[in-house]
Amino acid sequence: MTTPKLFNLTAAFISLSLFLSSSSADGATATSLITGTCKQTPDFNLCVSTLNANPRGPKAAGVQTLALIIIDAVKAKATTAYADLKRLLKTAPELEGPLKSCAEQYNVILTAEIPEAEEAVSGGVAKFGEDGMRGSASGADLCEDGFVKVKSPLTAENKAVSGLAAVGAAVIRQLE
Amino acid sequence: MGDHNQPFLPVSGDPECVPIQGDDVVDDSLHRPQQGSTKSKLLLAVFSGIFVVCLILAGGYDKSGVVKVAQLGGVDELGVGPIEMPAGSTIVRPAVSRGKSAGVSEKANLSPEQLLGGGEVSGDGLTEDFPWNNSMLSWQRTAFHFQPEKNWMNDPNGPLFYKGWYHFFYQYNPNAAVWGDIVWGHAVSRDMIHWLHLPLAMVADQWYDVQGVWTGSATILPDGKVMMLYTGSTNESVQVQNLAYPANHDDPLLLDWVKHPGNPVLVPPPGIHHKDFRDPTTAWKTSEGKWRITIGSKVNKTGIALIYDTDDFINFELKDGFLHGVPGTGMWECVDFYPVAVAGGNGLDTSVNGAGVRHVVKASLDDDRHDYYAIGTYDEEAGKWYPDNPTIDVGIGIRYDYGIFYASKTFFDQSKQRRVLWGWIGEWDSEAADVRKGWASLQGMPRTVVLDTKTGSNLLQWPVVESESLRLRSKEFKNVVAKPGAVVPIKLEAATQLDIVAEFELDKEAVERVAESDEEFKCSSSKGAAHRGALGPFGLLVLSEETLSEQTPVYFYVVKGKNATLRTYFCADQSRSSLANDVNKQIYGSYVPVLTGEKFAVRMLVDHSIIESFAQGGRSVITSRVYPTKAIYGAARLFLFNNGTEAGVTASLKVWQMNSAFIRPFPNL
Repeated sequence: MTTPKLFNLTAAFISLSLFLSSSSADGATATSLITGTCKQTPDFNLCVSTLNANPRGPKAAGVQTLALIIIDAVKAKATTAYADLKRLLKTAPELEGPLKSCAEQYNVILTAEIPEAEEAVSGGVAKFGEDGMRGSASGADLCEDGFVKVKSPLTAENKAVSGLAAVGAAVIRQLE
Repeated sequence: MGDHNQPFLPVSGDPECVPIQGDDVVDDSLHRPQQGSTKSKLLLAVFSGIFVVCLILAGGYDKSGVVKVAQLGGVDELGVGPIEMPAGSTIVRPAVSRGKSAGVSEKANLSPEQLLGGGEVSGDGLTEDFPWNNSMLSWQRTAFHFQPEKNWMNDPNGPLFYKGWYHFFYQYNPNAAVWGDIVWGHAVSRDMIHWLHLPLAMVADQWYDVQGVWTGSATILPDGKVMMLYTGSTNESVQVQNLAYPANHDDPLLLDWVKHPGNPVLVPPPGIHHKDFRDPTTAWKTSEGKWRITIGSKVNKTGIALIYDTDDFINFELKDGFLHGVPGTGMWECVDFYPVAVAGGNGLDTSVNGAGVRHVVKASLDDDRHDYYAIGTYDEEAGKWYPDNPTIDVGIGIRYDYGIFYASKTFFDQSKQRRVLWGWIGEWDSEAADVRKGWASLQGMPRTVVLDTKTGSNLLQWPVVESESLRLRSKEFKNVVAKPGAVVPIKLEAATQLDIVAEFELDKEAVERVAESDEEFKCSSSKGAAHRGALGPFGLLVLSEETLSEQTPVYFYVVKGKNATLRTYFCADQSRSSLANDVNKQIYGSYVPVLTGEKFAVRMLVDHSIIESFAQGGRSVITSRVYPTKAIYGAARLFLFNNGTEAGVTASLKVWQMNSAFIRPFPNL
């Protein structure tokens, strides 16, 4: 009777360990630069996972590289959000009002605020990069808030942009 | 009235000196490349392993919890204490106020009286974003403050007076209403008020400034020639210093500029990071006959001013040590260094030294986006400067301005023998609104700067006298009484372009009568104009709407402390300045010395979305950017108010309508 149980337990232990070691790889093998930097952001896990997901992340020698990676990731999420909302403008005409507001916000994010952040962080005048990231987070928040009487169809996208941009601002802050 | 004669000494409660201390807690190793710490990595691995095993055995395994290093405020696995968020996250800064969090106002528990007549309150920030329309946005453009026709501006650059023209250059983005692609804009004026736009002076066309033609300063040589030193961001984003000079010194408009073929003339020295080396100053003469400049930088968290000597603006010698440095202040941007006369009066050429002179060191702190200055002694031979009062040293003491004002720079106007201060006034609305309206930022009204001879320990700033040339019709209001709780309309034909000079007196008998208070007041932690004390707040409600649904109080708050000494604070309250939810809603200001015999005095320039308020002859200055949605055009009003509980206030004011400066492109160029 005990043998199958023991077997099961061992198997469970082994698979758990394997599972653990792969999922804990994000934390355990995150460089001390990444963990130190991400500790000072509002979302440690998001920060670490985003940086580790980019091959340049673990190799980064300084916070500036990490900041640029986050900005890139915000750009990707904002691009997705923008594509989604453009699709929704066609398929959900009843939401035209708030969606058009959102389009304006995301247009500013993609054409003004992210380029501002990239140029500022590359150039070493981080505070303008912080402005760009904070502005991007606000823009996503304002888009989300625009859906007053109806449920927002962009919540996931907006939260992704907002959360990551807030992390970006906090990483850039450490460059000042 | 037991008035006081205290200089700008910060007490523990001094509002605007707070930010920097927190930086000490930040892990400094983040600013250096990670040093190998194999030992701790090994320890970490071992600990993690044990930790994992324990968790599994305990059966309480949570995937996301394993080897999770502390969230903010927690204790990390290595047993280190709580990690504090850098103090910068709580500082009032131009950018931080975007978004709904800044729009929430605490109105729940205020009585109608405290609401100063009630009216609509702005949203709780959770409703849909404010629908700005073109009428509201276009109202925001100013009538008599310098701004380009469109797009983004930041730091003032290389101001000078040359062959009959005041020249102004500025950081400019020709492509967008946010920072980026920076080049030098240019404008000229006969009087520092009526500006005429000229073509761009310098663009990013060399490898050594292709990533940005950044801030710099002008030096006028004894023979009248102009040397312009400026920072370039190279093709590899290294900050270097470059020399430029007019292509034609006979051209009073200084239209064309030549970049020295041997640029850069300075590169970051050893020990200085290539991104911490910018904003060279105007040069001054040493007793050896050399020219000397200073450039701000930092070493770890210590802000410093490097010194270089030169004969020709091409070959420089780095002097040992720094002109000065202050721990914990971070990067010093836009350093300024200049003499002021102890006797007050005229300004002084930057090279003046000797008896009867103090020297000012100023820095723009990157960490908190404020401009700080300190007064002290310049030891010319040693190349060092020492503050008169180290407790209010550069970066930890007095600010030029307690509102929005950064990257400022002075120049000596030799035509009128005055030192004039320019400052970049950013936006306090959202970047999205800036993009929509197509522009961002202003320059402050240029101010003369002199030593305050009455206190000896701070400067006085005042709008240049030419600002008075904008005054049109005036109205006087003498001895207007505002009892406790009163709001008194000041009837004007219009209220968006004003020059206001006002004096206030508290009822003497009430001041004698009220009890002493041990209140530790700070504008920024108070309830603004709704914060009722015995002797304040009282002042003016600017850019206000008839029902006070929107109002911007600028006011004094007086505390009677021990031994009946009065302490006065000067604040601006934007918490109800706009119904929009995406603009700054903060309350800010400072302590201001009010000397025996002085009334409470303020001069205010109101110019659409900017208010500049000068208290006690310019002893404390607050610049505000305000974005009302209703209190615009003909609907804007001015009120006198007194929200104190015990003392009546008598006010006398003179209000001028202000003309436009008609700032426009230089004709027929």
